Amino acid sequence: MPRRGSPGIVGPRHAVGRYFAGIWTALKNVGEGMAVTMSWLLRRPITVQYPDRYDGQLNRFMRDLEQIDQGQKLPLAYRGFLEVDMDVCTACQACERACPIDCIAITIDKVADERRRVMTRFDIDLGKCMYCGLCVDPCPTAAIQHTPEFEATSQYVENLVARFVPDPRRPCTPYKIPKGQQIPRKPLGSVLRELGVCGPKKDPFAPLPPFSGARRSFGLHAAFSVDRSLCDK
Amino acid sequence: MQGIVDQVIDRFGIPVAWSQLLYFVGAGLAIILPFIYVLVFAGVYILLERRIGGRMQSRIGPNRVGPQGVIQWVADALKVLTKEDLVPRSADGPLFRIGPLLAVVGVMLGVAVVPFGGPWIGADLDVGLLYLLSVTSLVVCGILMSGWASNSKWALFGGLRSTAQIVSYEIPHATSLLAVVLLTGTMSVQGIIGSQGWLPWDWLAMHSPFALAAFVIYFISSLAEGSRVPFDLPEAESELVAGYNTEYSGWRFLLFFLTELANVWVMSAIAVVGFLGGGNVPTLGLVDGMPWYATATPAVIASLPLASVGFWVLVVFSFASIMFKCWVVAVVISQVRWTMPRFRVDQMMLLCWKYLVPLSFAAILVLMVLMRFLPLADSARLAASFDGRGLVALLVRLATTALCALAVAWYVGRVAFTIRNARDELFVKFAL
Repeated sequence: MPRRGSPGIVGPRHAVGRYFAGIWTALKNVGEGMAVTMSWLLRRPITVQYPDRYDGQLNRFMRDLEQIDQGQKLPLAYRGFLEVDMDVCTACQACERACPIDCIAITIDKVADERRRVMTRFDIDLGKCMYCGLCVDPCPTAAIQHTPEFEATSQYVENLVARFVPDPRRPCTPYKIPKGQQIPRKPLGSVLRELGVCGPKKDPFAPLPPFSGARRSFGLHAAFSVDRSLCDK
Repeated sequence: MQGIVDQVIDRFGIPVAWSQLLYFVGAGLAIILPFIYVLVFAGVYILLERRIGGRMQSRIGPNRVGPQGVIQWVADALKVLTKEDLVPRSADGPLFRIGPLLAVVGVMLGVAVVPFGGPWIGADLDVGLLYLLSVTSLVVCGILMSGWASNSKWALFGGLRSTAQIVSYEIPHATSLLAVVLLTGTMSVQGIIGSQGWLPWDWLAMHSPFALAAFVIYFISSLAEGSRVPFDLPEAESELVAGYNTEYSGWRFLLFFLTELANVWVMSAIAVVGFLGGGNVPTLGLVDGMPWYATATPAVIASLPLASVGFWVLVVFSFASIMFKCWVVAVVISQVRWTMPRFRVDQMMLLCWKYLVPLSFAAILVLMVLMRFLPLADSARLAASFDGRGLVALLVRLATTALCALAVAWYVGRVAFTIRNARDELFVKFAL
């Protein structure tokens, strides 16, 4: 049985029926379409008027969405700034090797008289990073992660280098993965905020950092000499 | 306008020598005021359309120039005006320069017979509708001229498409307006308004379902006449670069925009005048010898003395009424723009020749018979006459109005349904 209105059936009565059925369908469908556009007119736009309707401290867009539906924030896979939780970093340098554009620079030194390795530098040039996420995958402890942070305006591009070892004289000890325990990871974004890369501590008009060679010395891993007396023993 | 000048002359006893000057002033005002209004309408309407379109696409739209972007249109117009008025070397210079002027003149001549409530109208011609149909055909000459003179393939395609479209849709456009002329027996715009009442079921569109069909046909074909979406084939930006205005820049480019937007005003005003009761309001007891619910037609308002309170109250009400209706129709036109995809050329032709033309002729034929049985008068008079014909006419009107109300109720229901069943994860709902 062919569907009503399908071609292949001839006859004047059927043709007339199809003619008027077509008019009716057209009117009804236009009405449906108009109802859809009208319903959108009555809803709030999804646009976030960045940056002038944005309080700069809290991710207001996320907060608004949280009110509507818990869990509907920026997508979980949102690739914002990279951050490293130095407490769980194993100093394996897998991320550094994975980075296709060499925006991660890690310096590992040995403490004198001990067979201990320490990290004296862990820099990520956020101005250079292309947010591909290739460094996140090989990390054995999920120390390096993308955050939902995206706001780190600065007057000088050098200030976009996030230094996860702020003071080379106080190097970080590599993490040893415990057996059968969950690895504690600081909340996403908290490290960057603590460092002042973004969030309330961020000063967009911060002066140029004292010469560190950070941008120029990528690949030259001995930019700093470690003051071994300060190393925690 | 002339009657008002007459009244002023009578009242203040102005000598004949000076009265000529007053007539000139009155004529000048009658020319300039509608023109200025249409210019402002074009600007405000494009802004409104962009804001509405933004919201319908879950965006915000222009909101930077002035509070909520209210003077965006001024900024846009100034920007375009400062552009160089380029004429391509291989273009036909004189025709290229005249084309947009001709288009805009065609619409602006039409504005002459568009009423502004009460007795205010540029010129209440006895052949108003005929005049309107004739002068708006000038637009197609201007568009074809600019399409041809640009010496560009895109422009030529646009011009030819526009010609084919406007010439085809002239027929249902004129035929559906012929239904109005048949029912009212006049072509004068004010006369057409005067033969309707202020109540919805006294509007001409509600005379019978066939008049309603004529209204729908008028609306669709005037969209095509004005090249509005979904009939924007002449300037289809995804197919032809910009159609007939591809090669234009500066103020000549602006004139094409003005043509399109002024056309929106003219078509919505004629829809309101011809089918939706014009600027009719109840007299509110301000006219001697008429009950408050009687209709204050333009003729009734014009008959009041210029110095009376009633005149000005009714004029303001009538102005507000016609403006409100016209803006509602204009906003619906804009909503259609954000709803419908563009027709294909063959679909556009098919809609015209296979649907609108035969249906408009059928509507006219049926209305010719029906007008014998369903007299045209407002419901107060129909009910007062208490004869069978009047009652049948009133019932048919009420039934047609109920049909429309049902359609509107269905529409509101669909809007509510769509909002209720919206998917949360895509947008924030119910937050106005």
